[in-house]
This record gives sequence, C-alpha cells and structure tokens, in this order.
Amino acid sequence: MSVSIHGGYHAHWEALLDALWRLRKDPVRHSAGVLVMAIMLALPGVSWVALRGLDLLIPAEALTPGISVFLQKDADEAALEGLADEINAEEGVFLVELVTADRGLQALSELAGLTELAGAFDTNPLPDVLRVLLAPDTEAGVSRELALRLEGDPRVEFVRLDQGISAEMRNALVLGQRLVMVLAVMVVAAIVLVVTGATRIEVTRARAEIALVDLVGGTMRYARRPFIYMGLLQGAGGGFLAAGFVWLGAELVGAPLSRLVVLYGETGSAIGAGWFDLLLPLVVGTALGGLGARLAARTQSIAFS
Amino acid sequence: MIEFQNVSKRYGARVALDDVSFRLDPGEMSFLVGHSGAGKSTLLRQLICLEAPSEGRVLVGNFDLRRLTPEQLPIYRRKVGVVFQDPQLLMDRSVYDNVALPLQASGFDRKAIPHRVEAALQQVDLTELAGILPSALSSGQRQRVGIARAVVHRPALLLADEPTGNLDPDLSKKIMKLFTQFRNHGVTVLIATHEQALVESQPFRVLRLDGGRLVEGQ
Repeated sequence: MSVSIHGGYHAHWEALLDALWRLRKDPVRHSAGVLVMAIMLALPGVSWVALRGLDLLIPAEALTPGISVFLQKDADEAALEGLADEINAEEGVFLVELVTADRGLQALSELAGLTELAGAFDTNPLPDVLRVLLAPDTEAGVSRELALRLEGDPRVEFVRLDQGISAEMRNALVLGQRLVMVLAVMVVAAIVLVVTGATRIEVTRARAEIALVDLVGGTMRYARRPFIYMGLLQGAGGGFLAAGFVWLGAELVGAPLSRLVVLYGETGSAIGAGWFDLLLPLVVGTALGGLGARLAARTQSIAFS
Repeated sequence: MIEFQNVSKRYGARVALDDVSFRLDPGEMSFLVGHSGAGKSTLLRQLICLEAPSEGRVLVGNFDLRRLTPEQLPIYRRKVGVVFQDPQLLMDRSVYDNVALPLQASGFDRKAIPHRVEAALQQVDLTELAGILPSALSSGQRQRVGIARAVVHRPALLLADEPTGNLDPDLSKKIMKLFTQFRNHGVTVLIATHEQALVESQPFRVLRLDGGRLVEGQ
C-alpha cells in the first residue's frame, strides 16, 4: 500500500468544508447557539461603549475639585489680586482664575441663550468670582478647611465647594467599568461552556463515525478537526453578530449622549463604536469558540476512539 | 504476514483465547470458523488492535501489536482492511464519501482519491451508485460498499467478520469471489464465519476455534 501524505493546508480546508456541512445539517440549532453567543458578547461591549460615552459628559476641569469664591461687591481690584495671591500660595491649589462680574454676566447670557440679558440690568448684579482649582488628589477635608477659612475673609461674600457631583459621577463610572469587566469575565466563561456543551453533543452524535475513522487509520487529530472548526465558525459568527449589536447599541446610545455632551459645553466628542470595539467581539468570539470546541472535542473523541 | 505466538485472552475468569498459535503467509486466504462464542471475533479484535492479548505476541508484518505506540497505531491500521457483518456505513454520506473515508483519513494524495474510489467501486460493481446515500441501497449493495471501503487503500491484510451473514447464497458467492480476487492480488485474507457450507465450497485453509483453543489449522 502506498500512501502519500498531503497534510497541512488541504486537510484543514477539508475539515473546514466538513464543519460547514455539519452546521448546515441543523441550521436552526446552530443559529440559536450563535445568537446566544452574540448576545453574551454584545452585553459587555455595548455597556463599555455607553460608559465611555458617559465619561465624556464630565468636563475635564470638573474632574478636579474646586472652590468658587464669590467676592464682596465693593472689593477693589488690588484687594482681589491680593486675595488671589494668598489663595495661590495655599497648599494643594493648582490654579486661581478671576472671573470678573462682566465676564460672568456675558457667559451667563451666552449659556442661557439670552443675548439681551446683559442689557436688562442697570448695574451688573453678579459679583466678581475667584475660581480656585485644586490638585486632583486633594482630600475633601483639605478643600473644606480652605473653603471655611476663605468664608471668614472680609473680602469674601460666600464660598461654594464644586467637587461633589463630578467626583461622585467619576466614582460611579469607575464602578460601572469594573462591573463591565466582571461581566466580561463571566461572559468568557459562559461562552466556553456553551461551545463546549454544543461540541460535546456534536461529537457524541458522531461517535460511530469517530470510531470508524479510528478503525480505518485516521488520527484523532483528523477526527477532531471538523468539530474544532465548527466551534471556530460558531464563535466567529457570534462575534460578527455581536459586533453588529455593539455598533447598533452605540448608535442608539450615541445620539442622545452626544446631545448631552453639547449641553454640558463639550465639543468635538465622537461617541460611538470604533473599529477596535467591533473587532474585539469578533476576535474574542472566534478564539473562545475554538477553545471551547478544542476542549470538548479532545475529551469526547478520545472517549469514542 | 500474521503470526500468533501462544496468544491468550481472558476477560476476568473467562478464557476467550487459549494459547493460540498459527501463522498466515503473505497472499494466503483462510477461514476462521467455530461456533458462536468460540473466540473468532476476539481473535479479529486482536488483529485490529481493539484489544491487547493477555499473554503471547501477535505479529503482523513488521509490527508487534503489543508494542504499538499511539502514533504507530493509525499507520498499522492503514495496512489493514476490515469488513463487518453490519457494514457500518455513514448513512448521511454518499457511497463515494463512505468509500473515500480511509483515504481522506490517512492523508492520501487528494487528487488521486477519485481514481482510487472509482477503482474500488468498479471492483464491487457499484460505480453507478457512487452519488447516492446508503439508505437507498439493498443490504447486499451496502455490504459491497463496506468491502470497497475496506480495500480502497489497498491493504496488505483484509479481515472480514461474518461478511456474508446477512446475504443470500448467490450474493455470498459473489462476495467470496471478490475476496478471492483480492487474494490473487497478493492480499492476505482472513474471513471469520460460521457458515460451514460456504467454507466447504472454497479450497482454502481453515482455522477452527473451539472454546478459545485452535483445534484445526495450526
């Protein structure tokens, strides 16, 4: 008997065709499996894209704690500059910016869209304000203490701490991102289990065929290969669909988020799924499909040989 | 080609083969006969490496079957063709695919497979049915597909376990004629059967098992 070995590429191509043939034999069951994988893969993907969009809602300067120091109406310019210098010398102070009453009124009218607001008053009712930005790692106690001290200053009308909302939002976002990571890990485990289970069923159904392949001189590698390709194809299909879901989810979430971002004064922020967001489910789905199928095919085929 | 050296096989306290020794030369055709439970299938299972003997050695060509590594086992099996009483065809694959299976599984040159399959189907007179599913075949035709699958890779050793068990006398004669043709091409053939009439109609050596012992044909 002369057997000329022609392995490699041809063997893999035939295994791939065989896998497609097996998938086509029961399209409903396999499609359901692919859909389940797609939904599982899309869940962390869409959540991640949405959280990233929410992140853009927080203006850059709002990420650092700050204090707004509203000054007395009768405070003169020299007194203001003196106070600004004093605050600047305080520990943890990053930047002190003077927002004059006129600039404040102009900004207010622009923000509210009321261009005639500035002309509606005989005298500007707004005080001059010192915006104090603190270093990002400034502890809440330190900023509160500074605010209290400034409140006792005779040049100051009142003081407002600005760190609350942005810090809480940031913490909530970090929590959200961690939850998405935990979800992703659980999804990875679930997909491997789903593919392993599906492959076990496939291999069990083909046990007579595997035993026959073994008997006619086929290797277990040859017997297993179509089932591994089945897992890879299902994983790739699930990943491809998941990428579609992520894109769709990003489009649905992106539009309202973009409007919110504009309202918050940010510009040019693109909220949506990038190529990496779409490629990742495809790669992860294919890899997990292959891994799950390999694990199941290995143990099951050995049992039937 | 085949040499059994004091082979015994036990399943617990039950002795299936008891100190069996014989030798078959290359190109020799023999019948393995005996009552049900005499040990015929057990002896064939040793030759297909589905079981290992409890004692003794089985040599086939250059292979000592007890010492085969997992890597050598497929290589050995590619030199053996097996015909079963139930041909064990893949019912969702065409006749062609069933016959091509040993070639595909052994990494045979892909371009040469169609020619080989056609030649094997020609030998069993089933060329016209290559494209259909086994479910559309009669039991005799299925058995012939099983034989084509067993010889498509041109094995040096052909083993058959009750190959005519489900067939009428006319078909049995045709199948035996096929085995004789393979022997004429240098294939060593060992046929396990309990059909005494079939054995007596053929001029070949008989190995008779009784209670696991070889009582005729050493």
